[in-house]
Amino acid sequence: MGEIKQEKIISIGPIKIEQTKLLKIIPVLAIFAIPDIAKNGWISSIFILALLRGAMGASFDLSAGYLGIVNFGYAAFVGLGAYTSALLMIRMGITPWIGMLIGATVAAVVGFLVGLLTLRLRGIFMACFAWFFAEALKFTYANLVDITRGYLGLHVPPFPSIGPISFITRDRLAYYHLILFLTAVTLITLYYISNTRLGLAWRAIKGNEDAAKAVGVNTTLYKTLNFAISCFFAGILGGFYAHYISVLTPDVMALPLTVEVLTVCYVGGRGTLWGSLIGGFILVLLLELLRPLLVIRLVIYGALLIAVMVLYPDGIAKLIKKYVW
Amino acid sequence: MLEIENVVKRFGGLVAVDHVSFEVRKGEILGLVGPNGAGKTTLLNVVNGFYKPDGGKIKFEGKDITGWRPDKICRIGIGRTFQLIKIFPDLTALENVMVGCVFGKPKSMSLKEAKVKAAEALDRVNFPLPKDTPAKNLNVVQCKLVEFARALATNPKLLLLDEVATGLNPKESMAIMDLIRDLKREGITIMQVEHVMRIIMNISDRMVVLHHGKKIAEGTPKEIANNEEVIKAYLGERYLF
Repeated sequence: MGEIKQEKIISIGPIKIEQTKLLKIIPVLAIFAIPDIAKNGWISSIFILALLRGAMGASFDLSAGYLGIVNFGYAAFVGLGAYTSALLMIRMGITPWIGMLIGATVAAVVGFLVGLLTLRLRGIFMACFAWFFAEALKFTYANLVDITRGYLGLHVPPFPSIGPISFITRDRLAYYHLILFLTAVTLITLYYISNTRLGLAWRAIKGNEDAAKAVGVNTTLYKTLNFAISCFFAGILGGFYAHYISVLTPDVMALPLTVEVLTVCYVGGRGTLWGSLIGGFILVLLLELLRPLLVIRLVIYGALLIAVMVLYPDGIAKLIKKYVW
Repeated sequence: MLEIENVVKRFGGLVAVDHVSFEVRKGEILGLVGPNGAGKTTLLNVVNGFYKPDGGKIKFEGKDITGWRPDKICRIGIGRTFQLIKIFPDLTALENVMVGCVFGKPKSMSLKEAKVKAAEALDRVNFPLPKDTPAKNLNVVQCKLVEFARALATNPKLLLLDEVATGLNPKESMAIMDLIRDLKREGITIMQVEHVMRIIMNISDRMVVLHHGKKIAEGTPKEIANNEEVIKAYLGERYLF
């Protein structure tokens, strides 16, 4: 019991990984080349959606898995990023490459403020507050028809081209490469952050908030920081979503998206970050196969979530860790 | 070192701590005793900032710390352990202690440095298992040791101990008491709440007795054991040793 195995550690930038694990990861990464090989619009869009949901799940996981707080207003921050980037481009002509970052910053700042207000609350009160905030924001955006066009839908132009990479024709493969890049940046950043003192503070708070306070952790500060970082990535991914999907309605801020992301995170496995990626693929594929059932697919989401919570409360990631890792 | 002046804490109509004043002197072990519900743990919670007092003042090394946040109070040098074990179950024993190293000192340190310091703290309390054991797999004694090490890792000048002997067999509690004496020898002042009279009488330099939130006696263990008021309130019969 407890013997620490000596493994050859390989560092990639800030990330250290054991050699044997790296050898298992590389073949898996090959999966991400499938859309390039297939050159099929449908496959690309499946991969785009899976990565988008997976990356959202990972940033959601930062709160749900590391801090133990479920952000029921998550979709509102995706929406903030989406609308900020879209409106800056449409109304002021600012390129979405910058707009996305501004949108993410707006989401992070609002997330920080909402965090300050809500994170002093515990459990269900906090969840309700975040949800009500999201609803309030959704209705605000729905009623600002002059600016956002509300439920008429805002037509969002695509990303401008970078050199030979053209987004104008809405070439799915270009968008796939973009979201692959964004997902990688999101996951690597979150993974890195979660291994710093911030991550230690979060896991301590999740374990026992009183004890964390008693050993010097400024719990309010670290909780709001967690919220801000999680919302920052929600904002970035929202920006991508806006320019990819091309029509925005305030429903992007509504509860169904939050629940989808929550499902991705929980099915994939909380507290692992990469588990959400797997969750993203599973659920997007499932959604695609169940498409004929229309709205009933949400019922299936619910059923699946319940099944996973009962059978594998730690998600698919735990299974993989146990049998494959 | 720690001055508690006229501290009052109410929960609705219940006065849990009622105008209590006393002082913890540098280098001593002060035993805080009293029957169930006397307000001992409440008083500790007021001192380390979990509760804001409804009246009175708390001074630490001359500085008024009344109403400070617990994390700030920890960083100026007041550590504590809990009556009901409060470890971080998802972290390893070492990581539990690292939290104290990283966040509990006036100056923060890197994770690498913290790992070394945390290992030292675990050695100091004679933690018997590998240091990377997940905390959720530890038994009561091991959890208490981890809590101890975690509190020590914050470099406390004053350590608040809440019922460390509860749930331990006589042999285990002897070991912990030896550890407490060692800490005293190293210059850490200790304020200890304890239920087990034999233990607290034995280890304390001075004692304070609470009853229904009021302080009813203060003095050496011998004085306390012979104090009429205390015997009436708590011991029921003359306690001889």
